[in-house]
Amino acid sequence: MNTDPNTQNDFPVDWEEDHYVSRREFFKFLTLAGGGLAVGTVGISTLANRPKSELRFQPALIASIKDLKPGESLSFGFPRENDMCILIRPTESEFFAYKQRCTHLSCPVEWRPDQGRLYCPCHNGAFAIKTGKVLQGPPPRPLPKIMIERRGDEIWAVGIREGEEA
Amino acid sequence: MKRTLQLRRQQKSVVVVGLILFGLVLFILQLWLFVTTLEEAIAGHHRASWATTAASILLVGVDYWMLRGIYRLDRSA
Ligand code: FES
Repeated sequence: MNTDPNTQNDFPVDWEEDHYVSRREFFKFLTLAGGGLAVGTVGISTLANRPKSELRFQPALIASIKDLKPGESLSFGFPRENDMCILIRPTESEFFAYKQRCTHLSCPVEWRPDQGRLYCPCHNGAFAIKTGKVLQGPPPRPLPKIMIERRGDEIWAVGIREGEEA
Repeated sequence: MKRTLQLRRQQKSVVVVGLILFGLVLFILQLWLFVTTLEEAIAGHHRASWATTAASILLVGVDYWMLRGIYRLDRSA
């Protein structure tokens, strides 16, 4: 505290007082910071819950049905030639297609007919064949699904749907 | 009379320190909720996010309620 009467008029600031934060101010700061965090949490939840995007592309022929026997799979590029995807025919009448890049560290996933699921050999990740949902291992997200259409004897890719949580 | 007043002040100060410590714990909890929501969102899961959001809003409410309490204490000092 400045007690020198000669300088007190010129420098009236009391440093100790100046650095003193009242408990009220401190609590106000805590509440405001908490409010900021709550607003951030609301924003993130809103973004995370927005509808899953569906991207439509120029339809591309993947294969003819007779090229793929039940229990088999084949790789194809969609929407560009080097975006690897996988088409699977687990049973006579079912067809599923997914991006082939694992959502963990992008290793190519493979179809395991004996286990009825997609498997990533890099870190033992596995995905459900019907939904693309993660069944085991470190992948954080389901596999993006390729939207397919059956046109006569042919299977066409028409778009991509972000992985859905089932 | 004087002694009673002093005791009341001491009690008040204990209450305020308690409130501040509790407020800090709530703040850490909110920080944790925020980070959890962010992690879940990045990972593509969002099942827990509304629950964490509701909890975070509730905690701000408690913070605000305690802030008003401190104002009331100060006024009655
Ligand atoms: S890259 Fe597929 S599990 Fe790690």
